Amino acid sequence: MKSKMDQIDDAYRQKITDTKTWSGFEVKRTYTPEDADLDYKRDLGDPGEYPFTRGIHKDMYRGKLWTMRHEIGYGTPEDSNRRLKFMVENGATGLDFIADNPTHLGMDSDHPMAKHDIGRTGVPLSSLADMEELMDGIPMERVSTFTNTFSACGFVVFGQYIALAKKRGLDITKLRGQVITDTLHSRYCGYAPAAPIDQAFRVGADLMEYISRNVPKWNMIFPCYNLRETGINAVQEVAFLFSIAIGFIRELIRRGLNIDDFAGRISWIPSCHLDFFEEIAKIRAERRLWAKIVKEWFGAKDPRSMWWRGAAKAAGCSLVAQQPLNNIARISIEALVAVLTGCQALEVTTYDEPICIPTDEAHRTSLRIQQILAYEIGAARVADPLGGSYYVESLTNKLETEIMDLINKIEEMGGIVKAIKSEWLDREIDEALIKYQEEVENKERIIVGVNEFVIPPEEDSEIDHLKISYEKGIDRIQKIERLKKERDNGAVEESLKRLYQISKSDENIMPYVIEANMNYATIGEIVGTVRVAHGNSYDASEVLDPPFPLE
Amino acid sequence: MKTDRKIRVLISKTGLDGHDRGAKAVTYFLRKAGMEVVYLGQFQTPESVINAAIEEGVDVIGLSCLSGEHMSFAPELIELLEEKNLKDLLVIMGGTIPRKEIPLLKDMGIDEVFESGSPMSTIVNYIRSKIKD
Repeated sequence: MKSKMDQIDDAYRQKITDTKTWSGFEVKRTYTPEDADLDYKRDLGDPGEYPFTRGIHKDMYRGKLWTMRHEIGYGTPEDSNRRLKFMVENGATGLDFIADNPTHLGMDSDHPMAKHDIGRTGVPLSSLADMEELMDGIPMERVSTFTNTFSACGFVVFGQYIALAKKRGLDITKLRGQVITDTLHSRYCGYAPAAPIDQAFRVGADLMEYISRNVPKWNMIFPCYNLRETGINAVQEVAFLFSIAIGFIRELIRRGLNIDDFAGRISWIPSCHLDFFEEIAKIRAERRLWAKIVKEWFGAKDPRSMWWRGAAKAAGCSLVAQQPLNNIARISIEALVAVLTGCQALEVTTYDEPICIPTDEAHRTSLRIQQILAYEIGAARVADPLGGSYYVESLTNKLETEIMDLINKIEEMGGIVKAIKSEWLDREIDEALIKYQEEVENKERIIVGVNEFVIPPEEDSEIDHLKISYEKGIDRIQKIERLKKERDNGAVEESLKRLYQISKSDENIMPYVIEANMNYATIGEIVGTVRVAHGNSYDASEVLDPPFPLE
Repeated sequence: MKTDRKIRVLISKTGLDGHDRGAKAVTYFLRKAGMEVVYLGQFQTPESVINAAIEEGVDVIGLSCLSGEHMSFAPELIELLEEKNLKDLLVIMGGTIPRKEIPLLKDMGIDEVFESGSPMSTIVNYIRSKIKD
């Protein structure tokens, strides 16, 4: 193979040959005022003014800096409690804990299929007892917590959190935090067994309704990020999640809520992916589009209902295992997207994401990136600093049009639930992931370290990786067995029977979920009860039976 | 190599992990390369993988591991393979696997490990080079 030195004069003259954004839009060599076709008042407004393209607050970060939080969860509740505190001591300003796979799937740690997965990609939260350990020494009344269980079983983890707050004698109307109320998207993220569609939809709507009536400071999240990780593009990311939210809004209105009762608490997790300007345009476009949808489609009167609030996350799927330190550049640039577009919170995915779940050091590095962005580079001083750029405004307009077209296409299909049931969404996702891989294989899409600028593995950096103890996972099995013996099983049985009856009715299940949690019913038992009430098997893998008769 | 018989591959995820983008991509590219691929999907145990491998008469088992479960799943799988006298089967793994653990997996009996980002052509070429008659 020729040495690069032999080609140095050619390399010196290399040029950019790609002319399209990652979602496939051709962009010009340069942009001029004619390209930024807009009316300032109608299309932009000042920050804090409808349609909020430039930001939802007048002062932006001079009023409040974005919340800095990172997904934490591994090993045991005790391990995760330690890491949560470690991050706060290093400057994190919000909490975020993610549950392990068994929990996401509504399985207790002692489920026969769970043993290889306990605590591997999140914290096991089989019951209130685990939540107690996880939140030990953390003042729930003072923090903002993301109970990040994004499957259709997240309602139980949220229930554990509320149950704990009640046990501590706290006023739940004052609690601050977020939960993912989109119970539909996660079927495309590996959690389809967690809940059949109709059950998931009912549960998500119950969660939203409960929160809007009882926990007014709690945010209801639609995580565009999670779907984007499957390989879809920027337009699909927004269109699919907006369509899901529209589906839930219609359901809540059908139940008698007014749009202004709950829309103000709807929030988003946008992906911050690698195509810098497209991502910036995407976020500005979706902020403007959401405001219009809430106002024009649903007649919202309160401006706060029209705010698109974003808790951004740097795209994990854009990172690579080869030459992992390069990921620090990627995540920094992605984090900058969030700052320049005025997102309300930010999570910086760690550089070791393609290799293992985060070490202390990787988490701290991600936090330091946030702090460097906030305090060193000056990007936070001015609201919407890219507003008025001919390129950015043109691309923002383009993204808005494309997203709206795709939302309308889904509307024509009869809405998102129909699009999901017909498997249209599965096909969109499968096509996107294959297209992406083809582009990488034939070098239409360059990934540094993967298909260009490759080095032999033996020359690559060795980074530390977090090891999760298999044995600690097995210990948990005994812990769960002890819990099931020592709790008041009479009270558990009563509360599961009540939950079963309510799940079969139209009444909101959440108060009964919380009650069952207070009696130390496990997530497997609670999810299983709701499943049977909806005509499904108690256990998704059909291995377990209900511990008590439910009728 | 027998020219009229296609190479048969079983692609499976292991345990409860649901990240299937890589497994789906590998399935597609192996099929494109002319192999017959059975895609098992999620929720598989060592037993269900081996049973499917026997039933389908595959030459290769490919496991997709993205939750760190490979170190506990692999020994169980290899043990079962030995019990059922299937040591001739090619067993490969891919996913979020730290480089340091690759030699350990190979010592256990996994034939090759492809970390995330591996070009599809390397996987195709490896299988073709190993399955010869």
